[in-house]
Amino acid sequence: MDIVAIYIGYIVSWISKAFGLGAGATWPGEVALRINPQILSKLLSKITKRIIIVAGTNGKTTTTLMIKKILEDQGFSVLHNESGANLLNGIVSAFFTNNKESYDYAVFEVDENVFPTLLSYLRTKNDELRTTIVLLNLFRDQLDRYGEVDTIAKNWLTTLKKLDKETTVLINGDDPHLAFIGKQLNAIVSYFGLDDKTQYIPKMQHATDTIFCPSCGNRLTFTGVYFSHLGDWKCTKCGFTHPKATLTASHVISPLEGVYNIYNTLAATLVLETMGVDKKQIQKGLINFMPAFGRMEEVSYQEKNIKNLLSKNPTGFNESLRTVLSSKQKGPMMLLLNDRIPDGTDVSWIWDVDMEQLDGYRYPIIVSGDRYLDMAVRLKYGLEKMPNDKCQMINKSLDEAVIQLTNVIQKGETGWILPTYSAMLDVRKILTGKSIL
Amino acid sequence: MNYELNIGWLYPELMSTYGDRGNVVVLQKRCEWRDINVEIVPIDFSTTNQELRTINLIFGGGAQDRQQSILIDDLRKNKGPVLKEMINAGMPGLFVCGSPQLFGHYFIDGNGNKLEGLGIFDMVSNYPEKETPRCIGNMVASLNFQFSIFNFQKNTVVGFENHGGRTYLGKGVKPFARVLAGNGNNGEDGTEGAVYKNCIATYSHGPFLPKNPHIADWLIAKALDMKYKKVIPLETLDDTLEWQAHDYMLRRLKVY
Repeated sequence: MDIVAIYIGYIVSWISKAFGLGAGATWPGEVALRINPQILSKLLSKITKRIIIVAGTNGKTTTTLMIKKILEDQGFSVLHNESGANLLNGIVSAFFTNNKESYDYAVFEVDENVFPTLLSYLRTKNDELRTTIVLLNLFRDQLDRYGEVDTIAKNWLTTLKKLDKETTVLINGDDPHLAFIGKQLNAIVSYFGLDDKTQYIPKMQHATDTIFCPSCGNRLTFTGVYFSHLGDWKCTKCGFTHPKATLTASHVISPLEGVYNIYNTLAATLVLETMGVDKKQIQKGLINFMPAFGRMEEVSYQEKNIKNLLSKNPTGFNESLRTVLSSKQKGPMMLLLNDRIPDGTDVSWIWDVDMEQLDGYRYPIIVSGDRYLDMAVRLKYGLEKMPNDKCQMINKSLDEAVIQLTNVIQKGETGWILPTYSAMLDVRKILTGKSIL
Repeated sequence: MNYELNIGWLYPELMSTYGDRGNVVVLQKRCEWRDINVEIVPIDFSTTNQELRTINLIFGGGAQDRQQSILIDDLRKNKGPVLKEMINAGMPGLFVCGSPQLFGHYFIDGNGNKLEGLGIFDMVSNYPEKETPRCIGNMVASLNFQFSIFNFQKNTVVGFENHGGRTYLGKGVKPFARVLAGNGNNGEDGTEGAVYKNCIATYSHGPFLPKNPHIADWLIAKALDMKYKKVIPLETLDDTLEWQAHDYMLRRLKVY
């Protein structure tokens, strides 16, 4: 059965590529898994050195890509799943995209719900020996699909507890819930965190998920917050405190704007350092790092400079706004809200975004996407001044909205697009003339 | 004369799962656009009953299980009796998502544990068998004509439901609306939400009021009536955008 599943996987992969079906990232794996649900255990034996698994609400794609690029720079062969294809079918599909006998490393980004399942495939002690797990953060995201943050954290803890002390787990210690998980593991646990007071935000954002102690339920005391509930925290009641971080912001230079990208850089660096990659080589790799599509990706379209910032949940959106507002590149903004399956069908989350930050924004704001009306209502209630046609345009058609955007970007300005996931794929197709997935 | 309202928000840090604050923002803005001064009063552990009694309108959102267990004792023992008295006296309120379950007689959770509610709404909630799917998705309902805000132009409400529990109404409450698309209270009897005195409970979660400005205005008008003991007509606002968003959902769910 293994052989049959594997061969059919290759055939489906070849067909999708040959006919440009654009489903090569998930379908080969889906078919192979249907034939043999245990196929992944078999495929994982192709990895000779180490399997790296990156989990978290935000930052998976960027972190995974950093690790992959730098390992490849060192001459290693690296297997990775395509961005967004982070369910089991996407991970299995990765093995079929090129026909190699073995790989030195596998770097997988994995969906929050699938993470425990993926770990269950690493059953044998031998597999655990070769595994590094990264926990980036846990924020509210697509409630209709993922359920509540607490539920995810509980499932993670149950699975991670089963790992033995040969597994490496690298955790963002600024997230109290993740630190609480780390405390209870048998595995080798190290932490990263910002430890940089200059990055504190002046007041707590609305979209926070862990501000009560995960251990005793008392309100946590924050000396400072970087964003959402990430910060320097402690519980004055039960004494649960921020774990000491092995790697902090002063040791890395993030190649991308945005505080969240410092976390991604820290995570990638810590993974590579614990695997023994030379520090200078890591630094060199980071300097040359090009962002993943839609993640601070810069494109030139009709001679206008446009940046794409995937913004798919309250914390991600807040950080995108913060990045735009603090960037030296100024210009019009376009907000794209879709409610398709990859975006989450529930758009309630836009009310958790601190849109009030945009009050007094000096450039046009364009709103489009399937649920552009919901976004327009959100802006109406978020901005002090009632929007008028001059500063805000709403448009049902994405094609027309892109034309509007390019028309209002003046010379020397940058247009900022903040799309949800499927909107990002759509807008990118318009801007670059080709589809990705 | 400048009117003033105090809007109470139940445990804003604990009962705010997914965009719940949209309701508070909408109430606040729609008052401010009419020059009604508003103070948002967070009701949490430190709130005294004296402070609680200054509230003219109350809002409650949804809590995750852990958060709910943190606040439930305080709500039941310290705030419950006063809230009951105020609601019985006619204070308007809106409870979305999980909070209606706390205001009924009891709630039996997924593990079979029985959680005593405040017993203000004559209704009970329980979890169906383990394999029964959650009720998730966009929802449209038509307002119950027994309910005094019924008006022939705008008699629908739209929302997004996401609940595992099922709620059954007793005789002491009226259904808030009749389900046209979606599940509502239990997916069986066609009822959605409940009305008791001037308080509305709905299974719509998160931001319910942004696309239902008529309900927001009904709550504001009731709060003014109760506080100033007279009917105060509300200035009409331009709600074109809100109704476009509302009507979009009616069309999408093929209700009209």
